[in-house]
Amino acid sequence: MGLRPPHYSHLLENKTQVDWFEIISENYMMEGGRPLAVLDKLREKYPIVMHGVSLSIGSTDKIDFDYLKKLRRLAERIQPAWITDHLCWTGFGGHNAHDLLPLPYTEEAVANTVERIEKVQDFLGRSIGLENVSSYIEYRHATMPEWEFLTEVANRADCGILLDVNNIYVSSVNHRFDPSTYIQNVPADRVWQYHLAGHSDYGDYLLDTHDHPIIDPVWKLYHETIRTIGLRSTLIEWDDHIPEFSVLEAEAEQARGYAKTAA
Amino acid sequence: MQKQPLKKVHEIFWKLITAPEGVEEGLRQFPEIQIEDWFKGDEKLSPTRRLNIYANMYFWRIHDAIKEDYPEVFEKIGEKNWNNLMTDYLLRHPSDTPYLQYVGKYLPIFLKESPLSQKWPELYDLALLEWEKAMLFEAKEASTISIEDLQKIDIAKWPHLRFEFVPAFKLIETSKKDCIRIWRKDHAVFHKIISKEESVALNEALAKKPFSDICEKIGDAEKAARFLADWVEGGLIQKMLL
Ligand SMILES: [Fe+2]
Repeated sequence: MGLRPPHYSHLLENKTQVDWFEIISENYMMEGGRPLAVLDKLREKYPIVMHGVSLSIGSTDKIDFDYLKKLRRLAERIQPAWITDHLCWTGFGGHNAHDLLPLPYTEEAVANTVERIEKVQDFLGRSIGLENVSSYIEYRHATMPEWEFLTEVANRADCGILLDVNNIYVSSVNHRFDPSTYIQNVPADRVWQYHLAGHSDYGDYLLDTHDHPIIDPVWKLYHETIRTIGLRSTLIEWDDHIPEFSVLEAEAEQARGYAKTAA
Repeated sequence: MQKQPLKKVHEIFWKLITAPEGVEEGLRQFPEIQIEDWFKGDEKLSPTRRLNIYANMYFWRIHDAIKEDYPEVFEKIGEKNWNNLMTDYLLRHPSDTPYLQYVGKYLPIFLKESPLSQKWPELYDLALLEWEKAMLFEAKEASTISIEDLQKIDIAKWPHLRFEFVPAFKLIETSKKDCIRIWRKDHAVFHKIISKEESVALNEALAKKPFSDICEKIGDAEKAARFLADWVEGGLIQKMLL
């Protein structure tokens, strides 16, 4: 489950069914304060996974080593099971969009991303995992489909994959591809983790908003994913209109149910 | 077809989604490009509309994040002014940090020069206080000394006492030259407008001057001792140095 501030008090005071927590790394890369104190406490009871949003691994800017130092310091502090971010870029010319922007699926982008992943992995002294993002636009000059791009990058950089099943679904609707093809073409042995989430339907397109329950087609796709790729740690993302903890636990229970039928 | 190097792709994408009047207006910066040569669209959604999804997310995500740090400024100027302020602010200060929570750091200074400050002269002070308080929430932890620790010090040594303050403490000066001290205790952040005398005493103490200098500077040893007790009780002091 994702660790979010509205649930801090509940989690400190109550026992839960949660197996592990995922944090947004950037929300804990400061010197002190309550979030870090809560994280230290919860780390005593639960495994933690670090999930970042600002690595900008597909960028053409310089690698931000100051950011990486802080990321490494946080990793040393909480000893995460693994560290992930997104297969995307987030800014240009030293400026940050604070959004997960899509890469062109070209050989040039593969090579650029692979080179940066290798540098980041060297610096952190460990492999990282990268997540497929939801996208709303494709590039005219792309030379391969998204799953091929993801596979190429992961194989050449020797990194892990965080497969977001909702993102595959959202992009498949926005760009009209078959999500099953995507799942069948991902290298299963590289997949470390799954994400599930809700999205918003704007009629002409789907937007990845993390503020709704997971819809049935995404559950179905998840079922297909675990039958094709196998069981992996699965996280349900909520970032807006965050419901009570019990609602999240019920969704997690539903994911466990699918896992049992697929096993 | 023309070649689309990755760096150019990023530059065009970035400039289009950050254009203040939207993607269509942003395209005027690139008379040499045909958008359809770079981005795909279909009968449901043109490339421009697709890019506008990103443009909207860019603006609103940062807009909402800064609003969270400045609730009182937002309240004071209202939604319409705030939206315009954010458009102008992002033009001047596009985010230069990987951390969304720091994008609003230049807002106090930006407000100082904004026409909004003519209508609301207090905006700079309000914003400065909100920003500094937000920053103290995440300052480094430190242990603090207690009144008992202070009382244990032999009275003869008091004149030589110097003090080290916790990181979660800050003294700021408003545009009206008022001094405000801000501090964090048990993860809550407090602030207090303090007297001229206390600010003089605090500045001495922060400069690691001994207690005798602090007394001399404000010309009242008893008052200096009361300030000190107050700072200790507030959890402002982590160490006494002899
Ligand atoms: Fe995700």
